[in-house]
Amino acid sequence: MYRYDEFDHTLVAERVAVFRRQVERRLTGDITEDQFKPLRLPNGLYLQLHAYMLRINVPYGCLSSRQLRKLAFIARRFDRGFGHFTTRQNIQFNWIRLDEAPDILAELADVEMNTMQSSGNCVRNITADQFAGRARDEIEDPRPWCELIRQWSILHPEFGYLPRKFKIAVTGAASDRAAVKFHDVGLYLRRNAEGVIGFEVIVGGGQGRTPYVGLTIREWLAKEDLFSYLEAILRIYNLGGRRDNPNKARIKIQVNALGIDEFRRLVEEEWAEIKASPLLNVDPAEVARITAYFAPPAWEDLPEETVALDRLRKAQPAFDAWYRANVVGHRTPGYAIVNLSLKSPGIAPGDLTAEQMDRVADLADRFSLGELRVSHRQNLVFTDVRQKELHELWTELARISLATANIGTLTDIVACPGLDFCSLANARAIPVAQDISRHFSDAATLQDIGELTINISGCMNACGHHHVGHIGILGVEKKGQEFYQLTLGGSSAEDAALGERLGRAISADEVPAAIEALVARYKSLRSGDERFLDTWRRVGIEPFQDAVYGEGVTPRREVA
Amino acid sequence: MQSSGQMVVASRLSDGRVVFLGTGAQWVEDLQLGALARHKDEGEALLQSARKAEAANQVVEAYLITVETIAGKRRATDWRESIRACGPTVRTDLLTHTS
Amino acid sequence: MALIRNGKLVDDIHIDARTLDPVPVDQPVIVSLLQWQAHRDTLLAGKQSLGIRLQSDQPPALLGADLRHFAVVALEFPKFRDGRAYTHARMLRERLGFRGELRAVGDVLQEQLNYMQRCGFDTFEISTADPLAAWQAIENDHTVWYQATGDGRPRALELRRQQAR
Repeated sequence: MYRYDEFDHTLVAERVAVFRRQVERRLTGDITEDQFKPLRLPNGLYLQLHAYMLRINVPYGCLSSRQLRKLAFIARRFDRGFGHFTTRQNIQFNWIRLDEAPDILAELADVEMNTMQSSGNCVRNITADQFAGRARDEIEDPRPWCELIRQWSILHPEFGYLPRKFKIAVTGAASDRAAVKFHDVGLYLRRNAEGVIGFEVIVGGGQGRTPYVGLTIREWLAKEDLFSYLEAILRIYNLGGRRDNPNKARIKIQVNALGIDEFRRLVEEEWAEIKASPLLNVDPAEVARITAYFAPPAWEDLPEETVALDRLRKAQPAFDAWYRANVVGHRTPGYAIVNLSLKSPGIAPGDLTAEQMDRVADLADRFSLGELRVSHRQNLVFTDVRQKELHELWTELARISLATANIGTLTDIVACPGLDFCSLANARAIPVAQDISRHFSDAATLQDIGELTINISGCMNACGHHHVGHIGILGVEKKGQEFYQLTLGGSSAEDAALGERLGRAISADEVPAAIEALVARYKSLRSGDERFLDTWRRVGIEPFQDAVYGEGVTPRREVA
Repeated sequence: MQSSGQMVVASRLSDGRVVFLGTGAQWVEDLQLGALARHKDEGEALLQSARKAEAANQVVEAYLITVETIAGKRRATDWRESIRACGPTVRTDLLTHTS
Repeated sequence: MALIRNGKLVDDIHIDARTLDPVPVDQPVIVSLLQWQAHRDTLLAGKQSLGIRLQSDQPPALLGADLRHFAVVALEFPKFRDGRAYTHARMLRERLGFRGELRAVGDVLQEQLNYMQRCGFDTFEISTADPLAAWQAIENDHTVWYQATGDGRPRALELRRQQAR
């Protein structure tokens, strides 16, 4: 993974020093809260329901064991012993003291981490495929490009005060595991007709109140034009994005208002002006320097362990279930990618205790070359596990409740912190996830249901990505009570789609039964090995409405 | 016996913790120990006092909430405020108070 | 208002003529775009140093060839959150070739001065009681930047290379 050199270290250290001074000015009353808020937010510090919350960047989801141990230390020393991984591959701590925040940033800087631009109206953490560099369906590792974009975006003097936040995701794989089409800018590494790898550029995707699937602004962009093209997009957005209403200020609104063709025309016109600028060149030597950090590790020459694994899987159904759900093919023989589920029954999705962090760091050292990844579905990944050690790893993970065999299944639920923690939320999200995960805890049942994603958001801001869950659940508040609206048919993968509202909102108590009814209807309707999403696409909404609201009951359609 | 009143809730500047305005302009972490306004005027007076504490950089984002007292125990009538006062409902090991 | 340039308080020879009617033509003034459009020839005939103050929704390219008549372009930040003038400043310096005084006015906060400077601003009307102290507090905040702008500062890339030599 990327390592800071002295210049990266200096940049972060200077930023920490600036923030320390700003915090001091606030604590002594030199500046007001109104003045301080725009200073603390771009350092990832929010004021939430119970205390300050600190959001720490995990750049494109890559973590070292050393960094994870530091996070465990921070959880213990400065928080309440656990952290929460988010849908943007970041980690959040919930009980931070303002007067200790600068010390935390200094601790993070020691392990080459920071909180820069994890909030605020600027370019946020760059996200990527959690299997980057290891996936079999990848044409090129996106991480060097993520790091190049990260550096280009950090403290960019022109784009620190955009109309609204700006999120960028990159993947080099055929399967989209990074929700690329739901970002302000999404990048797919693609070959053009001549076989040269460049980027397909997507713009204007997003969720929130007004969800859009992103549109292709450019089919193929040469790598050397990456910065100039990004800069052109950001410029058109900075100048033309709405600033009168924060709810309409994202680039998706601008793209939709102008139409993609007109937006593209503006971008290309601006790009023509800056394309040849030496200020924006993608320097081949710098690309090579950064790419070297992501060079494949010295994998051992190992055989595929098919026979031995088959024997173990037959002998132990629990291991077999875990293998089938959580282990993914690796591009190198004898190795495997392993998902660590942060969704064991009854746990808040994405939560990890300090003790688990320390153990996971040890296991990463022992089984996965000291590195791990965070996925946007709030799980962890070991990227380089020897197949012959899978069983041993499974045993170790089970001891710390991280071997739940449910990746990609109904209980691999994505959920935002909701009203239990977040000051923007209208309803709780975590208890709903807990109820569902307790209700469907049998691995065989989950395997029979197959791929089915559930996403829960506690408000319209959609941090739980409910719009793109195969089943989406949105918490709403009515007369002081929590209710939940179901949407069906969303997808954040390469077959990107927005979910459709099923009908009237239901109470929290009714959610598990409703999921049960949807699943039962799917099982009765599916043909062959159709996924839930495929069946939904084939049969449409009505059978599922009947399942939840009763035969012949026309659900009252509600206005958003 | 049931009665209702108002209290001021805020976040303490130094650590962000949820605090309630108590008597004598002190801030307390327990809703049960905060000052309770029975009338609108009393509520306004509490809020005025809270504004001073904001100006003095003790607390931020102070506002009035409605609480009801049932069998001698107070609770916020609003669900969000109840979660603020008691802590998350999902990590009961982290509850700030048993109220 | 006090003006900071090169880390020092300087006097402004121009007067702010935005609310003056008629616009004085016998002394250096800073006018609005509307005033310029209405009184262009009169102002030019006065042969005084001229400045123009543009709102954040008035791109400098609107001035076209008239840009050469201005010693000062003042770009307004109506709220610190409105970041359009950062782009406008870079356009002025890096595309339109403006070499005169580029002034940041309006809701200009201490914490923004570094970004503004990097985008090409060279004078600042800072919204604070002691602008000189504000400048001094931040002027050494950052020695490393990842991006190149028209200000010519080496980016991290160049610093790495110098070190490698």
